Amino acid sequence: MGKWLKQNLVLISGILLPVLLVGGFFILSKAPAMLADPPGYDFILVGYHYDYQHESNYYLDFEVRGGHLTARAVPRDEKQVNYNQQKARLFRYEAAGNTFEELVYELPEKLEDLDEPVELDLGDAGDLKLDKRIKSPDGYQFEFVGYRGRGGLLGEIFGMRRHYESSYILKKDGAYFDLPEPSSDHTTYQYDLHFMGWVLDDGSAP
Amino acid sequence: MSSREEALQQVAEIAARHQLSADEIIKALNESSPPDQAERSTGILAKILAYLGGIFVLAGIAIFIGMQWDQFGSAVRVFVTLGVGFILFLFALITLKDDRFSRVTTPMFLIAALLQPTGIVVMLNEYSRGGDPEHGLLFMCVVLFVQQFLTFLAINRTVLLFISLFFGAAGFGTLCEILDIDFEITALALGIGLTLISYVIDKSDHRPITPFWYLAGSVFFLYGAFDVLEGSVFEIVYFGVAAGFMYLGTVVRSRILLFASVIALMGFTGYFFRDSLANAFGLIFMGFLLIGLSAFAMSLNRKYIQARPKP
Repeated sequence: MGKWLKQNLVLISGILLPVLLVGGFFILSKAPAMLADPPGYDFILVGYHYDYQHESNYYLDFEVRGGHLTARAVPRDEKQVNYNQQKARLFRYEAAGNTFEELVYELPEKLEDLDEPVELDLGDAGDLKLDKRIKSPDGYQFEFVGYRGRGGLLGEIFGMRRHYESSYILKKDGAYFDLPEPSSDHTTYQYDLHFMGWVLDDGSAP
Repeated sequence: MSSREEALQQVAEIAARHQLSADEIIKALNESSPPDQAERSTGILAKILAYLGGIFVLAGIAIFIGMQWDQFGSAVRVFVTLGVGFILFLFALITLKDDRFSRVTTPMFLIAALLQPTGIVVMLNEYSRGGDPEHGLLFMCVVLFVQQFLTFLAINRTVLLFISLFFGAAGFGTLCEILDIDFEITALALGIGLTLISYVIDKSDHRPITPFWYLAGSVFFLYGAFDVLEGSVFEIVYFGVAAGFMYLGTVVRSRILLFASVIALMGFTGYFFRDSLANAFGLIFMGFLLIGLSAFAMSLNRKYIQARPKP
């Protein structure tokens, strides 16, 4: 056995070294996520959308004021174009199931004739208590990572690049958790999601 | 070294590899008649025309299948790809028993190696119910690797080892992608593995395939190393890595490794001094560097690769 190993040392190294290298990297990259507590807080995202087929003369503006989500429809003038905020959808990330749920709200009537900004009624979404700090109380941060393939030309040829469920993650120190797509409508929401705040008070906190 | 000396060295290498004695070689030389130039030219022409004819027939069949593809049902689609590929594979095995068809064995194995994976992908596409395409690709690579490598172990044909290595490497890369391993790590691992396995193959009768795999191994490794070191304080170490491959090229006597390392050194020099070389003088400097490195590589080739007989 020893003699066989000695005679075939290069061949064995050729098979074992790549496996050890990849295995070691796999353990090192996955260990932080395995050791860290999973994200415990829900959060709210708004996904803006530009509808070039039905241009409107207003844009939607979501923000957190006084710990609650608010939204306005604002008439568009030349200084405030904001084409990409023509439509918006709200999503709540549910940490328990690692899923997104869409929060439905209604737009007021006759928005096309808008002269002054008007507040929108967000229903239950407006009642949520939000913490708009970047880091959640348990230390996670919502991040856009975009196209993370670092394969370059060879990676493109061989199709080897890191693939994620979406372009967004929750990150804490070295650990990251992939987030699912908020909507199956990839073209509309994949790259224009905005973080609003962490949900604090309705039982989602650990 | 003159071309006559080179030819004699190659004869000596072939004799050593196949354990041929001097008497056997002399006997074979006496039995063979000197090549007739006219007959040789006709033979080459006939061969070229035959290959061209074969390519036309295959291309015609492929175009015909492509035209009819939409009319084919799932079963027919699988049959014209996977079925035909597998039949060709079996036919290639049968040709091994008959010397008259010995020349078609390798092309048959290669065409089968092209059609069978295509057929497996078509089959998965037609009959699977969703799922991750990468898992399908991994399945295809594993099936082809097992088939080709077991057949190689049984009949010891070099072409099968080549195809096994291809699907082995492709399967490894796909598995790494499924496991979310960064491409630079995958490239480093593939580079190390392919270079070391090529070294082992280089010592065997299957050495004709090693230049390709040395090239693939070195390109993967040098690319992966660059990606790991790029932008870090250890970036300069890449000169050492590329020089190390140059040294390896002289040790294993591979011109391909020498070539890959020279290209890597050139490319990295251009990258490293990109700010100071982005002018006309920089271009002149790079030109001289290219000439110098190629002269150095040629001298290494003469001293360490051509001069020493292979073990």
